[in-house]
Amino acid sequence: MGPKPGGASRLGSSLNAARDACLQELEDPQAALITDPALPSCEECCRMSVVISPQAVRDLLKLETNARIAKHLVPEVGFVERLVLFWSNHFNVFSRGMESMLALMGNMERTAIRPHVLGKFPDMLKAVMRHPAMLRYLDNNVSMGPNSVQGLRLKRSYNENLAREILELHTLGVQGGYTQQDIINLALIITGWTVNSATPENVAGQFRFNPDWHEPGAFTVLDRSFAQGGIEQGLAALDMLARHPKTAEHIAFKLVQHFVTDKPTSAQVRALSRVFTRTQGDLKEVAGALLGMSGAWTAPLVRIRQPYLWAMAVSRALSMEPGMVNRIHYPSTRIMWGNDPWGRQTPDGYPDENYFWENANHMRIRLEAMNIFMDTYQSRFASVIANVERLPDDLLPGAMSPRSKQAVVDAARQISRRAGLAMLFLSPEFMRR
Amino acid sequence: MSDNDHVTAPVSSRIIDAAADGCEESRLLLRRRDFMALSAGFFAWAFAPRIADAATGQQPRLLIVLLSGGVDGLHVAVPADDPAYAAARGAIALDRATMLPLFQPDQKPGKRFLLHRSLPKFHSMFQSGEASLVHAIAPPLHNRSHFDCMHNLQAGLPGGRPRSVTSGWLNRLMGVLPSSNPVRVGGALQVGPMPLILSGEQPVLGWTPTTETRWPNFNDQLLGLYRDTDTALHRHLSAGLAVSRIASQSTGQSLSTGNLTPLQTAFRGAARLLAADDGPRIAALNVMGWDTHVSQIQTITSLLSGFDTALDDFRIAIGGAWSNTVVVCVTEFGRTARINGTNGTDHGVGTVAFLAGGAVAGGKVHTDWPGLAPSQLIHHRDLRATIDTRSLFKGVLADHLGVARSLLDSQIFPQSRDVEPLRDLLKAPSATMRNANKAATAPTQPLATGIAQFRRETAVN
Repeated sequence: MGPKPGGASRLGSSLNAARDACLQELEDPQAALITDPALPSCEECCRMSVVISPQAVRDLLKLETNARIAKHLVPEVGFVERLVLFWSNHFNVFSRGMESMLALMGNMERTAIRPHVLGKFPDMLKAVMRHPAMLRYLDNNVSMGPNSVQGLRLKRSYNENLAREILELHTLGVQGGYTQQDIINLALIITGWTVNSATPENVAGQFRFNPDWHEPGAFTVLDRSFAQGGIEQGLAALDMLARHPKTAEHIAFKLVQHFVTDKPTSAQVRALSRVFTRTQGDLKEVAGALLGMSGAWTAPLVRIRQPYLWAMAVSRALSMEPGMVNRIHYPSTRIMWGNDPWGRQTPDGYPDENYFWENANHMRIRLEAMNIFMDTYQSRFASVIANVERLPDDLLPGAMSPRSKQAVVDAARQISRRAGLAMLFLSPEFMRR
Repeated sequence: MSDNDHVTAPVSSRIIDAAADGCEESRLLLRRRDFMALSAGFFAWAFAPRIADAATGQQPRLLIVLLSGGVDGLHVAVPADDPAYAAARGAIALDRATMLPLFQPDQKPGKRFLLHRSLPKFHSMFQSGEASLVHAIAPPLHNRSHFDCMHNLQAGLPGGRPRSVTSGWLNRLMGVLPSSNPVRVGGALQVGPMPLILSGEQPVLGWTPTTETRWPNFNDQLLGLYRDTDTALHRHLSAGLAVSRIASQSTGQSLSTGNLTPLQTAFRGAARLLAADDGPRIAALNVMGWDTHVSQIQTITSLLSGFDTALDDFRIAIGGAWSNTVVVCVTEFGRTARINGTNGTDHGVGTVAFLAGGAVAGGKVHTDWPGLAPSQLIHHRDLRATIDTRSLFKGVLADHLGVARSLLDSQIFPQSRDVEPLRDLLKAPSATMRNANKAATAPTQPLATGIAQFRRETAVN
């Protein structure tokens, strides 16, 4: 997530030390979990999503966002947090302008994604597809089998929105060998995966499998037939998709692209996808293999930190304590402009291609955002600002060029100390990863 | 430092020609170069060969304005001859005597409309033949959801299709134009956050109106650092600052100074960038706030007035290029004919669209008026849409940019063969542009990104 002051002296500054610290994070089974008791349970969030109080859901979203950012600040390296963000983006959801959805998006990440980030991909897939946030975002909550009990009675039918995205985005990937008929059949298999209405209150807004909405019959997806059944029919289909070789390839490609290089080679993708297949989607094993991948630590720093990650790296570099998060209003400084949490409208998530983030518009906005951020919050970070000239060696020992260090010193002396800090955060060594 | 410092090496003409002929490999190569050109920014658009001696002022300009929130078309333009109007609107019916006529005194009853009086500048454009209205129009999806209908409008899809498509039709348009087409060469501009309509595989120039930086000399020091250590960041930041400079510089136009609304800043900046010789030729920007559920009369009056001023600023700021400009202003849906319980209106269907620009055959209201009597409304509540927004877009793309019908029906607006382009929107369909597009009449294979690109490339190996 970005270095913290003193980190190098605690961990050692060699590449091996960094890799060991990442591997060690993976060994903590709790590493991905947010256990803040102030956050409501999944059941409570679901209830809030149908018993709507606009102020309450907006407050809840803020609570979820702050808890997430606070969690980013804690670990020394933050590799697991990076994995959480990767998976959250893989299963992107958006409010679609429905205030009620705001109660669900943070919860989905917290209760359907985080518990499986060091677990199994099939479990994560099945948890996400049963979370009201995903079901409502992609309309499966209203999808009804045309020959189901209620479908026949109400003359209603299914939509293929979620089924298409499961195949295209979440599992096999584009050109993953599925047909339009596979999409339709999967859509029929998951009819009845819906969300409770506001009553009865003890289950309001929660996931529900409604057998009266479920299309009867056996259906084939990718040449595998799934026998007539209830929810287990869909769970079996998701299990098959999660373990499919094309899914392994797709996930491996995305992981290498995100963590290592804009242009993954087929050797890199093949190596990682073999681990995924061999371990049946054990994401801890896959993450470990990613850390050991050739080029993972030696690839030149060519990718730019996306704005949200950049804002987090800045916060960590400023020694921000988790308790301070609610006193920083990131959006108004534009420091994460274009990359707000749960701000991506389309189900493909924020693009990972470097060009999307490294361009004329974004660079100018970063420059201005850094001005605003440092001016607005200078008093909160007074002690870091006072030490600005020592910070480059503290944060990035041996990694900052003399030219960049000189630029920090020049800005600090000729403009202001906080301008020196801004120069550090805008330096190529800090912007890239 | 001169602006020429950040022009990239030209892409070989051989690659461009091969790409124009549809050679897959060179298209991929060109695409990567396109991204580099994008990185290089604004002035690097000069890398591609322009049509010989074409005066850039003659090239068409297109601005798409997304009026987000659902504009109440019945409050913008009132049917003067519809006997059901007053009853349908109740307390928010407008006093027709105070409105601006959109017809000649001798026009026969039937197609006569009256314009809200907070649009005086649009009205004078209309009267001078440089603006038109389209009435009873809506995107094909009629489910009254902001997000769904805005998505439908920008993705350019038929109604009822799921939201799977993640690219916008304006971006797909850029992808199917031949690489030598001046519109493709100039590129597209996003103003503010990336709207879906411009999202996709084709590179887009971004400009976001923001405050100026506050620390003197800081920009120069940072540029100096980038110049010495990171040429890519140097190119991007230089280009970003240059774009920002052009967007905010006044070049002898008779525009007011002083406190501008954010809308004025955005419209003026878009105009200046579209006017620039090497600038983009297409732009999209968003105007928010039209969701008038409460106290509509007050809210919409100030919205219309702000929009009117900004649009007129655009006309002045774009200068001589105005004569080759079309501005299309559209919204995701109209609003209920009847007033709701809080002196506003709720989400509906049919509404208006605005057309302005020197290239517009103005002074007309294009409509097939469906009527406001209860039986003529959808579910006794919403104005029907007798024109599909895609018809309006198609008409503009066909006549302003010379885009072939086959592309309009497939790549740009998928599965829309049955949606006819609106005719007679513009003064003179551009023959130059039609010629510039000769190479592009057949649908091309879409370019791939991410896993699709990886799979395509590894399949070859």
